[in-house]
Amino acid sequence: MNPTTEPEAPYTDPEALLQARVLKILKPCLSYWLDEQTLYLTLNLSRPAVTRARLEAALRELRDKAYLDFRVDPLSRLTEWRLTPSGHALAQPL
Amino acid sequence: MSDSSSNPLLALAQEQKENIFIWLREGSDHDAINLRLQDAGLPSATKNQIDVFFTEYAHERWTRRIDRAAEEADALIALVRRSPGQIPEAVLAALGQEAFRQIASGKVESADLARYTSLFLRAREQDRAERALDLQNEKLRLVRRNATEKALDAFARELPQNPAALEAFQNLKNQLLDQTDHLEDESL
Repeated sequence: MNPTTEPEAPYTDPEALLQARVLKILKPCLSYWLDEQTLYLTLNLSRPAVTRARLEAALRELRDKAYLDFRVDPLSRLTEWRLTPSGHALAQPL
Repeated sequence: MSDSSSNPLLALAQEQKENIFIWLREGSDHDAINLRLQDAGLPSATKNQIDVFFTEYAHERWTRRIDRAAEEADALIALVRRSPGQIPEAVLAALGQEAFRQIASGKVESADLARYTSLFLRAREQDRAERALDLQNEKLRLVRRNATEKALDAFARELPQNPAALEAFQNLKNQLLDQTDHLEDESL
């Protein structure tokens, strides 16, 4: 997607913008867990590219603010994420 | 995003876009795509238009799949819930999560998952019906065995107090019961 035609994001801080994109992707997943690899691929469908390190930092910060829950799936050993109720409330306007 | 008016492929109906995307994913080249477009009565497209279409539609398709994965997983749980027999909530939750994971990661199309689940439910229903029939046959066998035993016991009580006749009768009784068991095993 070409970013020039996207509506202007209300975030000037690139890290805050990345966190908003993460919340927006996780919002329709409701109570299901989305694995980190799918989240990473989805974020990198369009420019600007997101590195693993940036994604991990964004996820950590959102988790520390209690907007995200995470778990390691016992069978697949994948790290998975979902919004907490406060994360859903925050993602509502996105 | 490209303006769909400048790329006729992006303005096509959803089903047609999905078909073109699948043709491209299968490896069809520019000429093959145009032949297929022609067969479908659609206008031809330039190589650039086809390339742009593939990139944009793939992006849109991926995003739409994640957006809809939860709905599809919920629908699958509802389908299983409607099947006969009680399935524990924990099993349903695990099934929903696995369905969500497969759809969201693009490993399985939701329609395929629903088809596999329907097949599984049909097989399960058939298995349950066969088990019920086995139980019914076993019950019938026991009822018939009891009836035979009762009839023979009643007959035995009628026998005069003759030990030799009684012994011969006991032998006959055992032989008949063995035969009954044998016949029932064969019919099952």
